[in-house]
Amino acid sequence: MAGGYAWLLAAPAAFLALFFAWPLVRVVWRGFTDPVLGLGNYARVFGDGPYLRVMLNTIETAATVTALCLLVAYPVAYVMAKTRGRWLQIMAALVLIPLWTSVVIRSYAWMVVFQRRGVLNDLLLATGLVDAPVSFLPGALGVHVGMVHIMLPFMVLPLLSSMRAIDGTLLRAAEVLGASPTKVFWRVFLPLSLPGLNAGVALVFMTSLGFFVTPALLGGPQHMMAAVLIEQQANTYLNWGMASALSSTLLVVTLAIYVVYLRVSGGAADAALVR
Amino acid sequence: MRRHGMTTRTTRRGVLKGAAAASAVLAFPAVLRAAPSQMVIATGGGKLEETYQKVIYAPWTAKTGIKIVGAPNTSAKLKAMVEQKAYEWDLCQVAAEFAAQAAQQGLLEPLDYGMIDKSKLLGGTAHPHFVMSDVAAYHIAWNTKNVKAGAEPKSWAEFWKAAGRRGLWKRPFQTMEVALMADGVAKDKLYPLDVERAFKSLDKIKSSTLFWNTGAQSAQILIDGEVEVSATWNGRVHDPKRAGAPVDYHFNQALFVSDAWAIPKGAPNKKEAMEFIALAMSAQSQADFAKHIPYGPTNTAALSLLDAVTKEALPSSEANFAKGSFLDVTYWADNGDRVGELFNKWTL
Repeated sequence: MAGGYAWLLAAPAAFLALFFAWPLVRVVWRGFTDPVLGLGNYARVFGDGPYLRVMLNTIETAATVTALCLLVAYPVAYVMAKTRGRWLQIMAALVLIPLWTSVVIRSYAWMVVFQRRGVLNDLLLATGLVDAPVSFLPGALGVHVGMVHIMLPFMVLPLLSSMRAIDGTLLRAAEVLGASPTKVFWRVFLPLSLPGLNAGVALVFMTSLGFFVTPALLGGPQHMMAAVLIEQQANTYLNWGMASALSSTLLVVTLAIYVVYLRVSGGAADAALVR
Repeated sequence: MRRHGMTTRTTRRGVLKGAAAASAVLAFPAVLRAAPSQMVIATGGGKLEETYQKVIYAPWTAKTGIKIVGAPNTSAKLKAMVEQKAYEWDLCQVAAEFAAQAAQQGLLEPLDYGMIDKSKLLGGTAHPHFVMSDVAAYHIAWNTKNVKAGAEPKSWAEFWKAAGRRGLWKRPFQTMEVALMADGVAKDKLYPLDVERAFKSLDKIKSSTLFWNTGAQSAQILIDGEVEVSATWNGRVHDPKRAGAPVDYHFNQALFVSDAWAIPKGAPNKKEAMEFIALAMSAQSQADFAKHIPYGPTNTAALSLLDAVTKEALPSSEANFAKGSFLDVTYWADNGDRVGELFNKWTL
């Protein structure tokens, strides 16, 4: 970056330091000092309580949702990137409109779809695919569908911007040099869309780790996410030391996963381009 | 922030030292300080707050000239407020089991029972730091389309054996108690909870139970027939039943739970807050409240101001109150975190 303009960052940096970094430091500190100085809270987090299991649940759910989002969003973004004019506007609107509805309302809407006398069961019964209503709720299906629905725009948009930036002449050059359409996609288009893909994956995965409402409403008790545990400790039991320890653990786990992901995906991107 | 709080204290001490002449005045701040022009009261909001507005806030303002501003009673906020000595509420209404927890952490002002009359209150509702203001019931309810009349579960034991799916709250409080009653523990012998026995009892129905998250959800799954029977709070099914929804309930072996008035420790308008609580706890206020929302009064004198039809729906009317038992808030304040951890582990 041009050094002369670094001062422009001073205000945002001060804002972040004051309202983000400092509270974060206090949260981490509290995990070690409340109610008494020591590792008591962390002994509980890593002990044989429910905490580690919930952390793993959380990571697993976030990873599944991210993978599903990618599967759905990539073709959508691909088609959008190839489209111009009115149709692009319509598609963009369809992707964006769900963002204007609250997460709580959308989660309740999925309950209506999935419940025993819901739309989906009515359809299955009417078509004779099942004889008795299927119990979808509470269950993993509801959690995953509900979360993918909410996170989808956050995957589509970075993918789209990345794909639209791809220079079409590169694709034509590959074709001219005799590459099949499949080969053009795998060797040229996909690697060039990786920045958007990485951004989308990071965005969806990180956000999914902190999900609260959707798994609480659509999932069973066995689908408990870390955010629910943290909320319980902070609000119900007023045990802020424990809430801090759990938050800090989630933060460290998230950062660790992110670093590993950057290494792996960065390596993969380089390899794909060099091959 | 704590540092900010310390600065404030130092400043105040400095003022006291420096202005010796003013010390006589400062010794009686309550006498000389003008009454506030408004007070902030945090409650659960919604219909509850609308009703308070009508039956308590309006008379209070008419009497004292002090306006009332509502706020959501986010529990963590109480702790933050007291810790940082930055008060946004003058008083609050919170779940009684939460009040007990907050009192234990020193977050609440002791109540002045010289100002608040507790002579007519139900036993166990007047605590040193909070006073329970209503009685709701966590009880058995069923979908009347799917459960034939007469076949509804009469007790938690029958609820456990009921055909189909059942609903219970996804939290340990109240759910542990009914699990014990289902296993044959008498309603007056619940505490201290036999936690292991409760989990064994819950094990029997785990696979056929939908653990709901919010009161609204419990009513919805009952009315939609997503479950045949469910535990729920009477306030959630009272109106739908009257409006003709396919749901019914009874108070047998109900577990009574309460909201409670409390004052954040160190809040500035303590005297007015006590006066407000005294008004809110009066027989008239409680009776007026119960006419709008089927949460029964804790002031027994309020019952004589209510007609038979209203009393039929109230958990704390003589007939209904005898059928159930009170949640022990002190037990949960002492054991909530530990039992909650075990409960979370059990659910996974």
